[in-house]
Amino acid sequence: MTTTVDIIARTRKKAGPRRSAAASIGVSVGAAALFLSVGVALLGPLLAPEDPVAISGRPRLGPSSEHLLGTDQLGRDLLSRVLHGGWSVIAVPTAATLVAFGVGAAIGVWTGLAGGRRDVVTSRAVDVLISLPPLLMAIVFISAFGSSAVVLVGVTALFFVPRVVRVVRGTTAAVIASDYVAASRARGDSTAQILRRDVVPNISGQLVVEFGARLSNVVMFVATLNYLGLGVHPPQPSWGLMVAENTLLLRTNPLAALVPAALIAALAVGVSLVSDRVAERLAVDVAAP
Amino acid sequence: MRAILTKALTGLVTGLLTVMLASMVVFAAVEVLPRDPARTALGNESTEEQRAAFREEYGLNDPAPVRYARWAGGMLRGDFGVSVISRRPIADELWPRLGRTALLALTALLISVALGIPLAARAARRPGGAFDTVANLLSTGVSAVPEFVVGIGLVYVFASWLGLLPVLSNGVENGQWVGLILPALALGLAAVSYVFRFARVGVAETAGSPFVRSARLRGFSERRLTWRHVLPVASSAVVNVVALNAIYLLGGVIVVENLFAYPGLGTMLIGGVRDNDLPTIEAVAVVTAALLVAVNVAADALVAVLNPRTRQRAAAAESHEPEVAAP
Repeated sequence: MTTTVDIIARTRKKAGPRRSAAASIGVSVGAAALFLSVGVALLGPLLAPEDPVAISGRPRLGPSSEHLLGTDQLGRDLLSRVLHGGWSVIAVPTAATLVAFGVGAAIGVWTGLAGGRRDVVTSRAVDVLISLPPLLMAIVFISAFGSSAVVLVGVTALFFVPRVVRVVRGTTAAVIASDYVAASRARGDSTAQILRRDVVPNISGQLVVEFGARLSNVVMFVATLNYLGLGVHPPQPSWGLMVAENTLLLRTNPLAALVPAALIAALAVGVSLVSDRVAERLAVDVAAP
Repeated sequence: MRAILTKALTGLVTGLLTVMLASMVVFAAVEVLPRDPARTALGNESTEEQRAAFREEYGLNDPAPVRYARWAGGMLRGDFGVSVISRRPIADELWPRLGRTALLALTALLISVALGIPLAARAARRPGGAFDTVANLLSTGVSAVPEFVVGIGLVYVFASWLGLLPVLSNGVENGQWVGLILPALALGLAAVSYVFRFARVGVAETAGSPFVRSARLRGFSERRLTWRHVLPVASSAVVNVVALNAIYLLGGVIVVENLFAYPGLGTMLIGGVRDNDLPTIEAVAVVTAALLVAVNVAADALVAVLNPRTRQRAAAAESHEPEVAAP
């Protein structure tokens, strides 16, 4: 996998100096933002001073040495809630993207490989499924099935599978149509051999890029569901939900809503800038969402 | 002309299929769970006989396809059923809210175009220049941030910190137009990056085309070139933004309405979710999906009309060899 990627990267003409300087600023900012948000999410639970769901002081306290970010409407320590609240914002999108990607890539390669009627039918189905609005449908599904991590991952994956299928199918079909695959066929290679030697090495770069682009969409999608109260259940902290819970504290203690909002922004922007940079390095066009 | 008509017709048929599929998915999702609407409506103290009579009266014993046909047929005639909570026809509440949502979305779109197009024109003047680079980075960043994060930032700055604008908007009927500013701004800012990206590519492409070069050789000013020659051609980019991103803009509308308690379809939907009011959820979901499809079909048709080359250019682009990495 890395070999093809490296060759593409090496053979690609270097962009102008200004462009690459800007790109490196972008990737530095992105990597820093990603480190910050993922670090808080993963290490936060170890550092939290209080129990995030327990009442540990008077309600609506401002920041003090005792409660660095103050307390919320119920008197729970906001710093502890921030430190515990990142896990669901990172784990659910990652799991959902992995599921959507596994299923979508398998279907995409399968149809791209075959061509013909199977391909046409799948492509038409994908066209129709893509035009269903994901957030709207997810809201309906979650209100019918109730919200749990499994439902959230499943519903999110469900609406991103057709998008992955479309890109992977196109890339695979382009490889299948190439002369070197024709040569492999003429040599008498089996489909499995063609898949392993020709298709997989040549689509892997695009797959990596697609994964990054999808992850960035899904992070935003899941955070939005969280914010609308369709993610984790209320006593549990989550950055998205915290923004909604603490909007009314904006005037007295703005940090209560702005810190979780900033961490979500850091995560989303970080994923997006870093995956853009990876796409640039691999010289693959980022697919439209 | 023939090609445009075929395209529009295909779009229309696909759109109708999508709305049908959306309504089936919505119906099925609500149908899957074992729920007793009779118990929900009559309460737990009702007797089994009362519930049986209720089911008989509302035809709940019929098979699912029959009930789907009745529900979908009702919606076609403008009958969306009755809210479980308010016991009033859903249609009465739905239409005024639809109007307010459309107003919010259009205002936001205007804001994003008014900001995005001049930025794109400026950035495309020197591709790769400092302005272009910074604008590109910002647009990548902003497009990745969820709308509610943009919105909460605006609320903090304009409502809490500066105290200039109200946080909550209670509709705009009574001349409370200030209530529209923050929601439209939040949604518009989230959409600027979409407009910017599309318009920038459109402007850069057009600016490099032979007719612009010849106009420049004839000695026209850069300003005149941009406004009279480049932007009109690139304007289809804006319509394209709407067509391609309507799905994502819709998600933004739902979020922003809830952030500001704006009385549109988005707050009605989430309110329905909170109250477990399934008929309301179903009705809003289907109407919103239909609205989205209508916007898509209209935008596609408009692109084709605005730019008759669309089809040929699309066909030509497909036949191009994939770009090979040059050594």
